Amino acid sequence: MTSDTTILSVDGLCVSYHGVPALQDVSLSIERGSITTIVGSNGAGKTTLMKAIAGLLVPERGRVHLYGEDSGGRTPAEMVQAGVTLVPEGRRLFTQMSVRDNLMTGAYIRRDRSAIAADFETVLGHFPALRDRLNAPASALSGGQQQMLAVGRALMAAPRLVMLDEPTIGLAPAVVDTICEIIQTISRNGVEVLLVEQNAHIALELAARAYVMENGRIVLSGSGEELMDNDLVREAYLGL
Amino acid sequence: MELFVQLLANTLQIGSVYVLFALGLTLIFGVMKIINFAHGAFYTAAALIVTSVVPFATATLGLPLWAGYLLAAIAAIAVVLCLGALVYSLGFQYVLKDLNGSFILSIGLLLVLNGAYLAIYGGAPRSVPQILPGTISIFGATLTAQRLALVIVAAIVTGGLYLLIERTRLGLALRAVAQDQEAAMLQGMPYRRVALYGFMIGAGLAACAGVLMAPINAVTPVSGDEFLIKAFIIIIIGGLGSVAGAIVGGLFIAVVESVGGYFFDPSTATLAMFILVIVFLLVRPQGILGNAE
Repeated sequence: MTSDTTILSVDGLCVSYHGVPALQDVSLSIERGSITTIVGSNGAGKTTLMKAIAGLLVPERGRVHLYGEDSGGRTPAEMVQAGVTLVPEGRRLFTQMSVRDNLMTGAYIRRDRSAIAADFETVLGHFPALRDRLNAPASALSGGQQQMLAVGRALMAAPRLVMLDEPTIGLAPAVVDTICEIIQTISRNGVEVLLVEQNAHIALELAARAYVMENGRIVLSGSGEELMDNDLVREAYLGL
Repeated sequence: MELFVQLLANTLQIGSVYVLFALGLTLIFGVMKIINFAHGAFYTAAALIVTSVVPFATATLGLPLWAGYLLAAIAAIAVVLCLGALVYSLGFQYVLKDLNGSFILSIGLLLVLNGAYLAIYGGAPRSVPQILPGTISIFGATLTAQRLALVIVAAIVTGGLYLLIERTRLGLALRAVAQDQEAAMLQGMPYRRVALYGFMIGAGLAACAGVLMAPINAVTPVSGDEFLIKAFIIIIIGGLGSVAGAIVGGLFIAVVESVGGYFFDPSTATLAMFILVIVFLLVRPQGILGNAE
């Protein structure tokens, strides 16, 4: 399953909370140059999977390989160093800090000032709305701007893989479109994207490869198009 | 005018020590989400070390008084930082974000350290000779040179801390961890190391307060403990975990104490402080500059 083009592979991952299994034998892989998505309902284990990949949760069994290297036992900081960043569910901005400082927290692991400054400009290029609000506290931003800031913060780490947990939840349709465009731009710029969404329409449209999770297991996988035509997916997640 | 300046001078004198003490307590709370009940022990350790190093440096080493004090200050801060690192690695690192565990640990530590200080130094108040003799007169109000120096040094330390928190990479991490530890970890911030740094800075601030106060007030093995209750009041009023809140709260309590103490009497001022805390907890529990969660 692992090949030269595999960025990240997850093999037989099991995670439980206080003895209650949250992930059971989950395997998936993220290939170079494509957007990968995981769809599933609330409580299916999507967030748990992302936290386990990010190093926030320690799996009971199973392996995560990043560029073919076992990343078991790595701390979240080490995963960020290795190029994996997570934009968590609910954005989790530092709301009392300025927009500028929030972006700078994303670059915490980096030391190269000129490269950080260049990426700062690139991020503001993606999200021009943030440029006028750099000194405002993050809490003063609209929901859409906050999501942009959360994505921008992740990009400031100069990641190789960005994991986005429910980036469009609670946003107005026009803002959702903006976020989707940004996700595509990120992907085109050579950063791999793992997108977790409840909104299967968006996710399947964007993704080259998609997985469906139910009760902590992967129950289906295929290309975005294949899954869009799948009866189970159409009924359960697309409401068709 | 003269009265106003005198009261202002008193407020700054008392307030600057309160601010240093409360800043450390609030910083430790911010990054570790615990309250260090043994914080006064850091202050006491520093003050006691100053009382023993100054006579040693002047009598045995033959240094001038100011140099002896400087040496004592460096020694006191260094010892307190070592003590801080020791108690962090033996205890506090295991009770991060654990209010019950940290309560038991820090109260126990306080008793152990107070006992140790009593055993080493005895219970009698110890003092240091005046480092900066003389008084200074500003608008008719008199202030000892020593107390003026204390205010200036405390203001410099506070300003330095503020720059550290607002302008440096470590400061960014301290603020981020205080606000959302998990989100900070997702940015690659090593939470445990940041917590250690926060704890050490807090201990260092208490040591600074102890060093500055040693020549002004007599030192006993429990000197630092009287600041703990006041520092609590300060950070509740200023806002738990808020650096600016500790500064504002510290000065505010100093105003209450010096003005109340002058126009009424010290016990009325103390009473007023506790009433203020009750009012704050009822009306604005997040404090002046804290954020409601």
